[in-house]
Amino acid sequence: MKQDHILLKFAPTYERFTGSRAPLGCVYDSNIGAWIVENTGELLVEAGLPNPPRTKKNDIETGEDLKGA
Amino acid sequence: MKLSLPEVLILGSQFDLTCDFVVAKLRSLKCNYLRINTEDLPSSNISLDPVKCRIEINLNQKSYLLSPAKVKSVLFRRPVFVRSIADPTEHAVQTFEREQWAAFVRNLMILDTSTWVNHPASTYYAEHKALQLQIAHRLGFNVPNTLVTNYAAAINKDMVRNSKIVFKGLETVLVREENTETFAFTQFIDVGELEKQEIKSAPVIFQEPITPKIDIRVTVIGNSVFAAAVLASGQGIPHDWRVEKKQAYFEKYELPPEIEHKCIKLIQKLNLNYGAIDLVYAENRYYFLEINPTGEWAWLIDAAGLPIDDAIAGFLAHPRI
Repeated sequence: MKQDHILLKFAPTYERFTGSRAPLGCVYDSNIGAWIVENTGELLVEAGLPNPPRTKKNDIETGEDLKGA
Repeated sequence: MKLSLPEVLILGSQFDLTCDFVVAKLRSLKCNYLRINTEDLPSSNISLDPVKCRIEINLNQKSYLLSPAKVKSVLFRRPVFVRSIADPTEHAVQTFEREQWAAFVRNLMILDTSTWVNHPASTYYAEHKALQLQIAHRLGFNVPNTLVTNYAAAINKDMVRNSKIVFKGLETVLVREENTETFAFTQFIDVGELEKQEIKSAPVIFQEPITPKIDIRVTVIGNSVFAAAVLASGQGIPHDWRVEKKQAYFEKYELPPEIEHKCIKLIQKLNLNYGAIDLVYAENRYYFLEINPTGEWAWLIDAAGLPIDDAIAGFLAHPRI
């Protein structure tokens, strides 16, 4: 890719994340509409896990409009 | 099969954890909601009658009817722009399907009496940075001297401080190739170096640097305003704070009432119900940098102790008329 333009020249390039985005130990409950912790049934966001997955802001910058798409 | 008539509709994707925070609060409010993830749509049965304004969805063995009479509010968390930054490994047929379903989701705008957070058409309008700066300035915000240009000679000395100038994209700069991504943050450059750079082929936003500064992330939902300062080692971060994510921490911040008022007015002027506003505090003044109508907020719940999830769920459950 041509990277001469100033916006591209100074922009960091990194390896794309292509792994699974599913939170570890969780399943998506379609009836509830949220991820739940598999062995407790709690909502992931309420489970108070020690290292919870963060929302995109603390993870990867993808441009907020993409909403993870 | 019994038909469910949800009052709150969430349009998201399965891995959008921000929606999970809203779902959790809507459940505690005992609100009748439906979350539709775009990944689920191809396996569902849908029908949309635009004249009768009736949308039926059979999803996960349940049937739902969406109508303006019942759906009080919609949380819209899907892309509005059809940007050409699709996955380069995606096949053409997958691209076609994805685009058609994205259009279907946007066509849910036929729910025209529901309160949208935010309405797709308003999001499209509000995402334009030059417009944002113009409107913010007219509302009385301080804004940095700004120029959108593709030739360096257009830049005047009012935009240069300590021989430096800031530059960023007019649009999100995210380029995907097979195994890599390139994402542009806001950058500083010495104005002497600028003349050697290529800017002719695409316009760039240039701004006077506002530094030293404290970044303040302001989240507005309805008439509720939440603000957090972005700090590292007890001080503001001199450049784009997202580059310093690991060192940055967030503290609840009290904005002066007149700044809060301007933030609410800005949202209203842009026909939004939600906005993530980037301000900076420098030289005893508040400057507006930009607003993101689709900005993230959920990380601030824990990081800054801001109950934005409560506010958004409450707004969706009881939208203002």
